[in-house]
Formats: sequence, structure tokens, C-alpha cells
Amino acid sequence: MVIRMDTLYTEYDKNKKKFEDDFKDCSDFLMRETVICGEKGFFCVMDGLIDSLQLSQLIMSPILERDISFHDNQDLQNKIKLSVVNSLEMNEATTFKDCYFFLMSGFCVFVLDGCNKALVFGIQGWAKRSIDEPTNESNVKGAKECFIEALNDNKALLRKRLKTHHLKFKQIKLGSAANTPVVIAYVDNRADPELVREIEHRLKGANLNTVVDYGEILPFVDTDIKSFFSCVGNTERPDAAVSKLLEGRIVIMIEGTPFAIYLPYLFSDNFQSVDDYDNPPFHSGFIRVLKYFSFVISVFLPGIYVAVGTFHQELIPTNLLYTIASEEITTPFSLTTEAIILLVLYEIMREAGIRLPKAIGHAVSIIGGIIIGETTVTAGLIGAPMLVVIAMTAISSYVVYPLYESVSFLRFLFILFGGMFGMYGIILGAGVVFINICSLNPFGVPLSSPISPLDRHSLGDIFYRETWLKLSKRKVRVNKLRGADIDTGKKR
Amino acid sequence: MTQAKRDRVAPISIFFLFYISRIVISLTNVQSISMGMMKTDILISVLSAMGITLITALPAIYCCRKHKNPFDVKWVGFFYAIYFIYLAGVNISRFSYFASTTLNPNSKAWMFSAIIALCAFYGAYLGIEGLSRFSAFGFSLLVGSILVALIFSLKNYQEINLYPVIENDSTEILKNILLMTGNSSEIALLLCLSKKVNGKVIKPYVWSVIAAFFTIFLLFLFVIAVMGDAATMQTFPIYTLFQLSKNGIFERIDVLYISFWIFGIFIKSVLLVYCASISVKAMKKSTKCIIFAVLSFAVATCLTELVEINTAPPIIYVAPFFVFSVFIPIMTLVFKKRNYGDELVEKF
Repeated sequence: MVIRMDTLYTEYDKNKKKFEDDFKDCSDFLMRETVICGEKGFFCVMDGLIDSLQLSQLIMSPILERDISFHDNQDLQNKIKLSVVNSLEMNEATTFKDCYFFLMSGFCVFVLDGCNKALVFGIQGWAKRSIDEPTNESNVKGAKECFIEALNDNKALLRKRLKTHHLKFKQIKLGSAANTPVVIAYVDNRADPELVREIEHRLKGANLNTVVDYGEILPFVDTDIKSFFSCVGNTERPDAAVSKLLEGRIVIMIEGTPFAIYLPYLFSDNFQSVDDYDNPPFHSGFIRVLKYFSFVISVFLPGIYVAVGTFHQELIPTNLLYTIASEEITTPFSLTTEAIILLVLYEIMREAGIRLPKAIGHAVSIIGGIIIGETTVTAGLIGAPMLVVIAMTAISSYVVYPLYESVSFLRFLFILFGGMFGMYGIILGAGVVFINICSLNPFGVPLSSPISPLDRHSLGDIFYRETWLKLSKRKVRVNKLRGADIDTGKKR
Repeated sequence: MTQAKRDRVAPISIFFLFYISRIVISLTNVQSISMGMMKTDILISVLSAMGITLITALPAIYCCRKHKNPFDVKWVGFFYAIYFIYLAGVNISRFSYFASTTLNPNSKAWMFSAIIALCAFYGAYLGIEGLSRFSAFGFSLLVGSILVALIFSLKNYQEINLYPVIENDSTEILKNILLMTGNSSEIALLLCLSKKVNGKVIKPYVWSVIAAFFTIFLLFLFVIAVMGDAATMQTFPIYTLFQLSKNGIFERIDVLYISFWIFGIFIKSVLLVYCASISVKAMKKSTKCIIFAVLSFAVATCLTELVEINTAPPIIYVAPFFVFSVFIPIMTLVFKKRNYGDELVEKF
């Protein structure tokens, strides 16, 4: 299908021919020619993207059944637009490109003879998934709604939670071939307008063919420093997105993606969940500390075990050392090799468990559990303490799920560091990872803030959660964190 | 936002950076930073060194106040870069010596030096902002570890070990003062970083010196009070103090010492390589960082392989200190015109 993007003709036949030529061999393209008050015109829609009942009741019936008096065709079109059709969502398209975009977006395009612009009516009605429970960010208390693939529904999910005209949805089209609608959502009296402009500018500069998923636009809005940690957050929960909007952040939603991305992102966001705000503060604080601890375990534990077992046995209490030594002395591999083998096997099983159909996935888990859990230890291939360490590491990494990708890679590095250089390698490696995190400045907001640079007013929701009495006054506002460590005081 | 001034640090970060930079020196083998016996009089040397360090910083402080910075002169900046690389080499070699003799006796010192140099390159390449933020973590870890060690050492603290107060002769005490003063690199760093601070730079410098020397004072006090005469026999007395600080399940607190020294040496190496890279105007940032990191590795390897670190003459630390921290700032104050460039740009 070759599409020439030029303006509509005033001649009916030329417009009709152009539509027919461009949509040749498109079986879902429907066109209906008609005569309205003696003037020729045609309706066209894409089958499957519209609601036929709405088309009939709101658009076609009023236009075809009403007797309209008019001076010229332009006047007729205006009257149809202003007083005939019952559709609320209505627009005008002057180019074929616009007409086609509206067609693909579930609009009905109406072209009238003698008019060089078309009327488009929103009657979207494609099949979509119902709003379901979140699967990746499940919670015990709180709302059970998640984003779906339909952009309009996602907008509505935000709007119904944030009943204010300050919530803006700036819509742009991305992808030269697919023209995917992308929405930049922000609260205009909280988000920095410059930040909104910057993000819009970056998105518009994305030289993409199509935007099928949010991963495709990440590199255009992420920071430029190479890092294991992303500076863009994602959520499938409208309530989480709303709380980010209220912190002055920008949420980006893409048609066809049940996730919203938000930025600027903070490292501490990885440790927050919706339940934290429903549970009592002492419990939320406890869980937060557990999460930070789990992150440390999931990254460092195998490496530290390998380092201590290989180089610094004196650091292990004597009784424990005997237990470990008696197990490990019978195995043929070094601690480093054991750790890597087990982790690789675990990652393979995890991947298989995710991709396979559920029934087979369970079987893989059982077989994997029996083989790794029982046989390898019984056969003397792997030491039982190492198995415990890897199991703890694996479980801990799921506690901070947003960091899973980073963690799963980093722990391999730390096993190698620990195996080669002992604690020295581990600590120096940790230094490099931390300095990398500290160097990230997504849109001028340090990823490590509000911990470093320290912002006391934002700390109430980091390692613990203050009560709402205080939190309502002291919650994170990203604008206040911006450049917090660089613009202070007078010179000298 | 994105237009905010980059590559700058807050005054508090300068405090953290200088504190860490100063305190890591005390963690090294005691023979390279002091002479004579490890007795109570070393505490007098520590306090005196603090005073003298602050006094010797006066020319540099005036340079900052009067907008006369030696780094404005290109060729002087080049010599400072060499000085920073030398300091980085010295610090790396001191840690590599510890790592290869105590931590991993089977590994070679040059290996440790190479890894630190590599990490220093990466850190310096990332810039001062990341380093300054990371220094806050380093500072917290360091102070926390020291507090834990000191608290757990309280049960072994014996005041009697502190007496008699003076056992070293006056020459050794003076030499100790000189060595402790001469091991400071913060004055040159102050001159180098003064333009990178958005805020008051002198106050955090002064407080960092006071806080660092006070911490060293406390550590040495506990070393002497806990170990008594045995303190003199130790190559790494603070490490031994941490080893002795056992309590219940926390049997081996020395791992804390290892951790914070590595963090400290990492931060200091990054800081020195970064300062060296900004002292030289030519070349790309990444190229400069690579070259200076490699040079610091070379210096460290030369010092560990060619010079016996315990018996290295003190002059190799003290002489460069007086040249770059005292002499050049005085010459700058006397001969250099004021540079209002930055001030004007900011006003504009």
C-alpha cells in the first residue's frame, strides 16, 4: 500500500479513488457511498476498530435521515458537524495522512463532495481486555486495577483518581510507520514545564519505525551514562502512577502497552510498593528495611560466600567453618564454579518456568527442584551450604523485583570478583556499582537522592514510612531534589 | 533542571571528601606516617599536626579568598597533576602493601594496584558529582565502622597503658608532627576543587581537617590504651584494634576495617585522578583519566616493588607537600593577579 500524504481534493471522485487505491486489498476497509440532500458523500471505517451500533445510531442515521437546508456544500458540512451528528468526539482532517490515522484509530471518516476536508467521528469499539488485577505488582490491600492495552482506558484510569483539570494528557504520535499514539501525562502545577518540554522533545526526536512496547522508547528518555540500573520506572498500577504524578513526575503511556513509564526515577522507588501506604508505618518501615537487606543479599551474598570461603576462612566462626568445610571438601568444584553453575541452572529454570505453558512450567520447577535440591547434593557435586546460599539469593532477588535484571547480572560479577580477589574485589566492586548509581542524573535529579544528596524533607518515605499526618507534608517532590547537591549557598 | 550547573559539588561533599581523604592515611602501616614508638605522645603529635596543617593551609585559603588560584596558570596545573598522580600512587601502594601482606597473601601487590587504578579511572571518568554523592555513603560507613570498633574496644580500654605520656624524644615527636602534616593532600585538593564548589569552601575544609584529626586522635588513643606496649610492634595498629574488638557473634570486626579502607582508598584515588585530569586543560576527559590512572598504577607499582614502603625516607612525602601546598600558594599570592573570570561569568 503506497500512501501519498497530500491534502484532500474538493472533487468527490478524486477523493474516493484515492481512498480506494490506497486501501486496495485491505479487506477490513469499509466504504459506504451515499447521497445527502442531493450531495454525494462517503463514509469509511476500519472493520473491527469501530462500534457498529454507534456508527449507525450516532452518525449515519442522523445524517441520512435529516433534511438539511444549506447554501453550498461547505455550509452543509458545517451543519452536519454542528447540529446533526450525535457523536461527542469529532474532528476535521485536511490531509489523507490524518484521515488514515483517524481511520486506524477507530474513527469514522465522512467525506462530502465539494469539501477539501473530512469530518471524523470517534466511535472506537475494538476488542480489548477488561481491566484486571495487576499481575506483576500485586498487593494485599488497596485497589485491584491495572493498566490495559487501550490508551484511552488508561487515561480514564488516571483521570478518575485525579479529578483535577491540572492533570494533562499531551498526546503525540511516534514511529514513522506505525504512528503509535503516546501520551505524556503530568500535573501542570507540580511538574516542571521544562521537564515536560524536554521529555516531549526527546520523544519526538526518537527516530523509530514503530513503537510496539515501552522498551523501545526507553533509550530515548533514559540517561546517557552506561549503567546496570535504569533511570526510568514502570508500573502497571494506575494508583502508583497517580502518586508519581503528584510527586511532580511525568508518566508516559503508549497505545498497546499495559505499562506506564515514569520519570525522573529514584533508586529508592525500587523499594516502595502500594501496600506500604496501607499498612501501619512500623510495619511498612520494617518491610522497607527488609527490602534493602534483601537487595544486599541478592547482589552480594554468593560473592561474599565465595570470597570468605576461598580467601578469608578466618572470618567464619569456627563451628560454622567446620560445617561448611565438611560439606565442601567432598565436592569436585571450587566455590566459584559451584556458585556459577547453580546460578546459571537457576536462571535457566526461571526462564523456562516463565516462558513455558503453566502446566509444563510446574513440571520444570519440580524436576529442577528435585535434581538441584536433592541429586546434586547427594551425588556430591554441589555442597549443601552453597545450595542454601543460592536459594536465599534467589528468593531475596524477588523481594526487590524491579531490580531483578540488574541484580541477576551483578551477582555473577560479584562471584567472579570474590573468587578472584576475595573481599577486596567485592568491596571495590561495590564501590564501583555505588559510584555508578550516584553518577546517574536522570533529568537533573540524582538517582541516589534523597539519600545522597540528602534531602531531609523527603526522607519520610525512604527507609521507613511516616504516618500520613507527616507524610502529606513531607513526601518526595522531584523538583526539590533537582540539583540539590549543586546549588547551595554563597561562593567561598 | 537539565540546565542546572553540572560538575559541581555542595560544601558538605567537600567535607566528606576531605575527611575521607585525610583519614585513610592513618589506616596505613604506621611506620610510613610516624616515627619512634607508638606511645601516648603520638597523640600530642596528632593534635599539633592538626594545628600546623591548618596554619600551612592559610596561603591556600587566602588564594581562594583573593581569587588567585595557581591552577589558572597552565604549566602550574600540569605540575599539580603530576603531584596528584604521585599522591594517588602513594596511597594505592600503601593499600596494595596491606592487601598483599595481610588480606590476600597469595596475591601480588601490583594486581591490587591495577584494580584500584582501573576503578579510579572509571570513577574519575564519571565525574565529581557521582563521587561527591558516593562520599556521603563512604563517610557514613567509615564513621559507623569506627564507632562500632571503638565501642567494642571499650572493654579492653586500660588507662594505665597511656602512661607515661611522653616516651619518644623531642626529635621523634617533631618528626611525627612533620610527617603527619606532610601526608596531607587536602590543601592542594582545596585549591583544585575550590572552583567546583557551589558554596563556601573554606569552612568545610577546616572542619574536615579538625574532624579527621580528631578521629585519628581517638583511634590512636584506643590503640595505645588497648594494646599498650604491643602497639609499637604492629605494622597496622588500627587493623589490630579492629581485630581485637570482638563482641559476641561479631567475632571479626576487622572486616569493617578492610571495607572502609577499601572504600576510602577508592574514593581518594578517584578524587586524585579526577583532580589530576582537571588540572590539565589539554586532551579529552576520558583520555586524561586513562592516562592518569595508568600513571598512578605505575607510581604505585614502582613504590611497592622498588622502594621498601616501611623504610621510605619521609622526605618523599614531606617535600612535595611543602612545595605544592605552601610554597606555590605563597608565590601565587605574591605574584599572580586576581582572576575575576568566574565571578563575572556568574554575575553575567
